[in-house]
Amino acid sequence: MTETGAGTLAPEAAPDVGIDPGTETKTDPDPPWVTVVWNDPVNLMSYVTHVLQRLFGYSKEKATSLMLDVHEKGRAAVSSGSREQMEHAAARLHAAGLWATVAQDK
Amino acid sequence: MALVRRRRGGIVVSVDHDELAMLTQVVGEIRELLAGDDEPTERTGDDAFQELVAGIGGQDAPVEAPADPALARLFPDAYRDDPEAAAEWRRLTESGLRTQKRANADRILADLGGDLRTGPHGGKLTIDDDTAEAWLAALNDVRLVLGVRLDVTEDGDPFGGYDRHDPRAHPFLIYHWLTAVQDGLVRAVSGD
Repeated sequence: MTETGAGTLAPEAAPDVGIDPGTETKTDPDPPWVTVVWNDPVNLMSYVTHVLQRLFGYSKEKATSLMLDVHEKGRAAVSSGSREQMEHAAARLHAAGLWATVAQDK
Repeated sequence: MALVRRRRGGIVVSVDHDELAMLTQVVGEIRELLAGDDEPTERTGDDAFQELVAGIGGQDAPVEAPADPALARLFPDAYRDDPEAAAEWRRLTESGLRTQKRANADRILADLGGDLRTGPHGGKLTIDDDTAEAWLAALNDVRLVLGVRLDVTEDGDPFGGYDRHDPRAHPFLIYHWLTAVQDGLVRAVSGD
């Protein structure tokens, strides 16, 4: 992703929000499908965070944390649920220009 | 530099004459790239999302990624290791996604071609948040296409090491200008 000079996203400012039942899309403890967002050299860090907030209703902190996972690890599972839900999520992410795939969370 | 600011009445975009011409040109080029035989002759622009949700691909709906790498980036496979699932997903979604991306580009072009409040240094227009989302997606599509065409990499020299005689030097400047405009728009929309 691309970081611009105007303002910075501080990784240390993002708390661990891995457990955030209020914003999970599904409560199934072991959901079989995930939507994965992949890193790419064009999408802006600020834009990716914004899209994750808007499409999934995530808090700024959670969206930033996921964005940083994409940026630093190359990919992140941004949502989990049924296959149909994940395909729908992938389509909306593609509409926004993010590179997303659907996979079974083995 | 185009300015984007949130004001009480919405998001105000200020562009000078050159910036207006540049935006119109690059978004127009993407709009052309997205044009195709499947394009309906008339549409309202509000049904794009419904088409996407419905996800009904026609008999001629595509099942393979576009040959043009820039288009392939706009319409990537949704399955990495399952060509059959990727083809089926594409058949159901690509047409709707195309329609949506066209509508986003049309939105910017219509706004830029509308009544700008013009002053000595250019024009201003005020857009609402939904419109700003369409702008963001369309500007992002322009940058994705330029990124493929210019081989933009994450860690490279911002000018790709090109000298000013390189034919890509100018598009690179446009790319970086669009990056700044999009980032300003994101920050205005998200309230940063």
